[in-house]
Amino acid sequence: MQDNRFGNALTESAIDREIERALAVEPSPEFVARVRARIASERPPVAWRVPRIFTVVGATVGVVLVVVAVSRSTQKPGPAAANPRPLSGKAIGDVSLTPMPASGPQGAMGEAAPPVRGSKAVSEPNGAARSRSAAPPARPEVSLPADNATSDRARGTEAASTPLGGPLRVGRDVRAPLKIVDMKPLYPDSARAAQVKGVVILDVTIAIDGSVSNARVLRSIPIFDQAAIDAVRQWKFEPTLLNGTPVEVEMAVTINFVPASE
Amino acid sequence: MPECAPALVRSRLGEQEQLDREFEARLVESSTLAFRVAYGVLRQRQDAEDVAQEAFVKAHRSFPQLRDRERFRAWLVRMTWRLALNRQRADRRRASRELEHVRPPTPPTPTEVAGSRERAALVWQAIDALPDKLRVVVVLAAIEGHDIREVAVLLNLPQGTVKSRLFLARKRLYEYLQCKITDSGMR
Repeated sequence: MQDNRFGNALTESAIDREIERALAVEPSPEFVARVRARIASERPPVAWRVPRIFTVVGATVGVVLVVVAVSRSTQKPGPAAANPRPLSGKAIGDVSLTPMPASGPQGAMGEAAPPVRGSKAVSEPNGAARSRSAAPPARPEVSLPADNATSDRARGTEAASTPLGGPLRVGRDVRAPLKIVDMKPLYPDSARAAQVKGVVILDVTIAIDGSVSNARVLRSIPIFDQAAIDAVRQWKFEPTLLNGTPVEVEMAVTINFVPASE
Repeated sequence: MPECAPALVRSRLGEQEQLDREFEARLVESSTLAFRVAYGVLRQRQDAEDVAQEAFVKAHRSFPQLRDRERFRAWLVRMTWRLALNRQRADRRRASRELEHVRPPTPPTPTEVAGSRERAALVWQAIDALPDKLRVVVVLAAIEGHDIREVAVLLNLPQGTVKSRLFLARKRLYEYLQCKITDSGMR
């Protein structure tokens, strides 16, 4: 009796028919048009298209140059380890953040260092941080409270490796900021009529005041992009703090567009 | 010599136009196939369209490098299938994260499984329970009346392999459905 669901008997052909019926679906009429539009939106101009071989050769040369530069910079400090090097002209990889004692500059910075708050020490590859008295600091100054900086250095946080000045990427030790003002995106009428749904992914930059200062589409559904950006621009976050100071961060956010009926 | 550059650009433009025309023809011809392949995995029209669209975009990017243009359909099918599986896995991961504490759906009762929708749902359950290798063969064989030779071409597999996988898949489907029907009948 139960087998009646598949006709009179549960046979292979009945199963095949059922599968064929289940798969006999057609894409929406505008599907091909959407594919065309998507392809057109991302096609680069022909005149600027670089032949593949040039791309490969360029990438290879770049890699070789980087390897040579890195190997040279790691060979240099060996014999000169005893002598302090001037700050200028060294690879950024040598730089580490050093805590400033709250009482004054004398402890870690050495006797000859001028008492400039936030001056940066340069660590040698063997890990020993030494004072710099000859040249003035050539790179942006960084100061961290002693307790936080020590723990940050021990963990090897993003803060030490992220180029200063740009937003920090959320992830690893940089936590995502807490959203305090949310705004749902407006569902475009045209999309509602067409029962279109999908996910738009944006890369947003959150300014130090917690507002969204920049939003860029990573995964696009053209019909939803503007609505997603408009909504995200109105979001507010609690600023991310690094050593007690608000910093600019960037992260990806996902906006899911689903018709209200679902 | 100075005329060489515009000539080169013209010839490349002509080449590009021809490629575009060729791709357009294949897009029209294969859109339903790609959609159904994705639908066979995802069973959501919109998701299937998204995935099929993604597959066409990728196919368009690599179309100039495709040496044998006659194999476009096979290439597209495999790419769509992979993308659909990736999407399904990502969706499942996300759903399991979001719905960690939500009660799982209760299995259908005998009265519930009596309609055609329930019948289709049962078949889909059975297809989902198949391993990917068997599932793709069953789905492709059910789309556009592909025979074993065509499925073998689409999957770039020997016909014998497709035949044995199809046999095994049908056997498992049969067993699964038989088991489900017996269970619901006993409850």
